[in-house]
Amino acid sequence: MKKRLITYYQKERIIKFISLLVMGAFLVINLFPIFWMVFCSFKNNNDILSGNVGFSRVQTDISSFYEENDFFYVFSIDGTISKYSKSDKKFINKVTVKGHGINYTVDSNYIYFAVANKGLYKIDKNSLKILKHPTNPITNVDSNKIGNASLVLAGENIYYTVEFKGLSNIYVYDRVNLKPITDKPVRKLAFDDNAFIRSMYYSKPYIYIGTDSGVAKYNPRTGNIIKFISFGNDYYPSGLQKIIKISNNVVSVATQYGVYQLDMKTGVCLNKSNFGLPIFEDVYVKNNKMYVANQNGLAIIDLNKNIVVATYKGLVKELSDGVVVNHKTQFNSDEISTVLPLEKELLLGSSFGRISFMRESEGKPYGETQLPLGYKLVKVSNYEDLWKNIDFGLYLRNSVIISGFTMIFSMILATLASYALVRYKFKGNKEFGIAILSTQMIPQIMYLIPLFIMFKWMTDVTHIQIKGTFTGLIFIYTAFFVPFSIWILRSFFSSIPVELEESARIDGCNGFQVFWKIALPLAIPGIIATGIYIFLTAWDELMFAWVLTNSNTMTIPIGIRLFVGNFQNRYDLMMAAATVATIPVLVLFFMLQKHIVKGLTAGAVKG
Amino acid sequence: MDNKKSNQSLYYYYRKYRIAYIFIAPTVIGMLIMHFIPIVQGIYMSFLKLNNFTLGQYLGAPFIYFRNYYDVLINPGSPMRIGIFDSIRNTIIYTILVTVGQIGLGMIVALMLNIDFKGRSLVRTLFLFSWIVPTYVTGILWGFMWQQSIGIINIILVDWLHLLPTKPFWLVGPNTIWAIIIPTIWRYWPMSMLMLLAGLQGISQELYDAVKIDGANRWTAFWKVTWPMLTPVWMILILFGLIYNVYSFNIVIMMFGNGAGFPGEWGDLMMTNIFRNSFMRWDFGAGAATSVILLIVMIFAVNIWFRFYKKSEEAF
Repeated sequence: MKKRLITYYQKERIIKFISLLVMGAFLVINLFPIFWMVFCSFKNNNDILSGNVGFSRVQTDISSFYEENDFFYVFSIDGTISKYSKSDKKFINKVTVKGHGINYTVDSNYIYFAVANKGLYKIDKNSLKILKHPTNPITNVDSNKIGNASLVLAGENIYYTVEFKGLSNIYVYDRVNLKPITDKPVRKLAFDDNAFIRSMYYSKPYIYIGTDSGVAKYNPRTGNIIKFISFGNDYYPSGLQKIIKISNNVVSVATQYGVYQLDMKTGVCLNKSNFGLPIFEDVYVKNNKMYVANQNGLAIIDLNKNIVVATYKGLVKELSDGVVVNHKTQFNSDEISTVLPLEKELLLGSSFGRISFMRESEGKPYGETQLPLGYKLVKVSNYEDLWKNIDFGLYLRNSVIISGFTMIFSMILATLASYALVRYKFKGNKEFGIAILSTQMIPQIMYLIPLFIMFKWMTDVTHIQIKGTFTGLIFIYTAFFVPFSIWILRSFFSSIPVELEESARIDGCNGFQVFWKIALPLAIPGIIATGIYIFLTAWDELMFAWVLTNSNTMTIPIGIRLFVGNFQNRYDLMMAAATVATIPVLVLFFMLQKHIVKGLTAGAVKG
Repeated sequence: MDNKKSNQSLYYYYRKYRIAYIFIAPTVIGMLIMHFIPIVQGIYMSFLKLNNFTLGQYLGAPFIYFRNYYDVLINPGSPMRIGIFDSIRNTIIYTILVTVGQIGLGMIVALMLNIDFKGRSLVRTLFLFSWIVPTYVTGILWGFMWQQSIGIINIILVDWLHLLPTKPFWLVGPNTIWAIIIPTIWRYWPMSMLMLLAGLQGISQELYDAVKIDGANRWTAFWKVTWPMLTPVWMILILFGLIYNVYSFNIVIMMFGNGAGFPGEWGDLMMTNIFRNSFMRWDFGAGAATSVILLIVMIFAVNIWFRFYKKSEEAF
């Protein structure tokens, strides 16, 4: 007899093992879309749109420098303040506030830090400890739509605002404990509803507010705008970056396209010039010299003669410093984003946190360093933004109400009807059963068209609003889901032994009592299972809700449809919305899955 | 005498079944209002010129006989006819492939789950998750995953596995049919799996032992025992597949621009076509006519199914 290579049992085990392996792999593939949905709901939309699979790190472009005594501070756009020693250029410590649109200002002891999506921070200059946590006045706005925050110190107060279309409020805080000043209410500036406030400048006793459309002179004591000068059309309105100098009523404004001098009295532009330089990134004025960080490097302008004294190129190297700079993003190696003149040398900053030094006489960079990579951008705030962008709470509530009531009503009707169908062989029993089954065969749109027109007509005639109400939708849903519920529940009632009911009858119960006391309690698990299934189905319904709801009664799927018009390509919010729509039913199902599975398979297999 | 007797029996009949009639009364009334009246109206409306202008006249809109049917099926100049045959073809392909796919996949996984192992019920529950994801979410999610440059499917297929030379467009052109079939299978196959698994657990081991003695291997045992024994289950599943997939709407409509986009000539189904004609083009008459045609076709299809079902029951 030929000897077998492997025994029968070994073969069985191998087959079992392979089956489990295949099944596991398939399980992973099958769950992947759900995982991907939840994963993407935490991603930054730019990551999604650039095809970046993981979480990218925040860019650490340097927005500005500040120097004092032996130290210089580097402020980068990811919300990090890094402290360096001036003499040996060594990193000392840093603090990170995760946020965007950051601006800062400094007084003798503290750094005040304005984060567009979080509010004001107060940070100790020496230890870089956060002393005061923020009070964010702007809570109901999608943080992605806010540009930079700006702040200015004026006397004992801090004036804080953010760059957001249509928001022209200035919030006033106490400088010591960052509490809003209650007796001075929020100032609503009445110059232009669509202005973006870009920058503020305090020159005692006025605050000059730079917007993309002009500069306003504002009296913080009275809360009035004294004068507003519009840039007009020929002034490149979108480029305003900061107000650099105020003297004798003349405001110097740095924009992307040069420096403008506005006479605040007459409202005339005295001078405008870009000195033949490319787009300005930042300017700094010291000793009548203006240092212009621009896209091609650095330029120095003598303000007395109004001429370019010197230009420098190639000042910041493409450092990597042991870390890989995101090579997918193109950047200009000549571009300088900010500049700060120290005593002997210039401090230069650029995108990706690159820092270098230069002496004016030499024109060559030295001492290059780079900030460490930013934190990974995991955005839990997508969910907050979802709520702020569209009225998602309302849609969630509407979905729960509509699905809940549909479940309750259809369960009441279906329980009664299916019990009658199973237990009583009345005339018309069979016809009723067939009618119930055949309703499942009719396309839903066949009901929707007449119902829509019927509701419209009824509203026209009786002026009773049915379209767009909960009642109308619940009524329709109930009517539609009852036949299927009856179909499932029939098998539950037929599995209850008749003998129990017969003995109850002999004991003197009437028909209703038999149902109420014997049959119903036994069928409760089945009713719950069917009810949950109906809830899920109603939660899933799109077509009727689309046509028959209005803005107050919209359910989640209709709310999600709003993404089309308002936020094209906001996949992050879309996935967050999808997750919010899925998780409740998933949890509900997970808790009750045993009953549901049992109920549905019993109903189906018996058919 | 005779009259009295029949009266008496009617009285007893009434007493005996009174409660049953009370129990079904609300359902019957609801179904009359929400099923019967709309259906009759819907059929009537398919003969009316019912668009945005005549909407206010309700059923008094101009009666145009079979003009809507002519416009939908025959008239080459009518806007309704554009794409109707595409959508019919797509619906047929879609229904067949999705039904076969979900029963096939459900059968394979049900067979695997029928093996006894630790954590079986947990695995089964996890498999069911895709079935709980709302269909509109399925549409949005897969529409997002099918994106040409940023979609994860193209990233996996092209960038990671290098199976394809360039990233294909899934939501444009002939690939669209796959882009709507695969998510639908993904969404619905666990239902088939559940029912087939329940059916599998009802098959007694003795049958397998018997064919094993006859020398059958696994393959023949499956086709000789398992599949025939599951006939009622997969027959029901075919009916479900027929009804659900011919009337499939949510997944497809949400996949293309959240309902604002056009699924294209390879993605448009009957339901999306009717919905677009009715609620975006505001031609309710044509929409009603198309749904009546769809209903008639479905009645035929279900009748054919029922004949097969009867036959399989008799053979059983």
